Amino acid sequence: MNRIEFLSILSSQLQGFTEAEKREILCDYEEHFSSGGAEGKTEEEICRRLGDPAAAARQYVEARQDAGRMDAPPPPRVVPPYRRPERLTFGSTMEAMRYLYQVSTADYVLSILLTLLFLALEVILLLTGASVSAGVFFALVAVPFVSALHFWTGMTVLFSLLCVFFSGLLICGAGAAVQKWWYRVIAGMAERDRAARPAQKEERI
Amino acid sequence: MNAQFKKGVLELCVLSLLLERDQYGYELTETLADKMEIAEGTIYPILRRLHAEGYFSAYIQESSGGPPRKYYSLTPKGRLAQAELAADWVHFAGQVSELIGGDILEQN
Repeated sequence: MNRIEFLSILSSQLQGFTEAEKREILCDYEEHFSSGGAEGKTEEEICRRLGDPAAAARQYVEARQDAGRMDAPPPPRVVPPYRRPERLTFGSTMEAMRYLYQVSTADYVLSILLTLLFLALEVILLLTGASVSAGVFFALVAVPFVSALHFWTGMTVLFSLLCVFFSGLLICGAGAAVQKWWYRVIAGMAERDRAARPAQKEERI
Repeated sequence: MNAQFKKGVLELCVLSLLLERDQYGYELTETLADKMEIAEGTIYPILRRLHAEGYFSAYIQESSGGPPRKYYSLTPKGRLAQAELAADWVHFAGQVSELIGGDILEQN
């Protein structure tokens, strides 16, 4: 069996589907043949692995009956291929972010969850009187960081998230330490100030 | 294998493969057909149904030296379904292996 035979059997067995639906379904198999062809497979080999076109058609018909009337899936968006930029600039960061959001809803949701996580961390830091500024700063830059790591290093989103999260913790910790030191300096100054005041009062009396 | 049963398991396999990264149809069918005895043509109806039910979103991207590819990307709903199906499967497989009297899962 060759490509044309496979597709025509499949098409003829897709009864009850509109022309547009048939085109969509056949399109998936066309892509399959082209991908296999690009790997050097013959049409006969590809057909053998695909199996019986009538069996595939039966599955489409059954799925449609199960769901009453299967809603057609939404049409796919066309996304240009992403090329990793050679240099890390503000423009290329924005491009990576825009691309990430366009391609994957799941990644986008993860990024938002991460931001919320940082905000929660922020509340904890605020309540315990630790660093505020470091946490706020990191919550604002966390999302672009994840996108950038994901695209420039080729790491998975989850791994990028972990990297950003732990480096965020480090930064928050460092911020807390700096602030603690600063409070101590301020407290020292206030102490000296208070020590100096009674003397002034006595002078006035 | 019972066709209905196999279909449910294949759904779980497809969802699990997409958990790691977005993949296109040919890639998915090749991986599945290499691992188990199935006709690759029966994967596409499953992809279309899972897509229609909102477990995936899809986008088309040019490839170098091949046709434009339709990539499937798991939605949060799809991730949830994968987690539920995977838990069901582990539970079910455990019960079956107990019934048939061997510790097949533990041995592996």
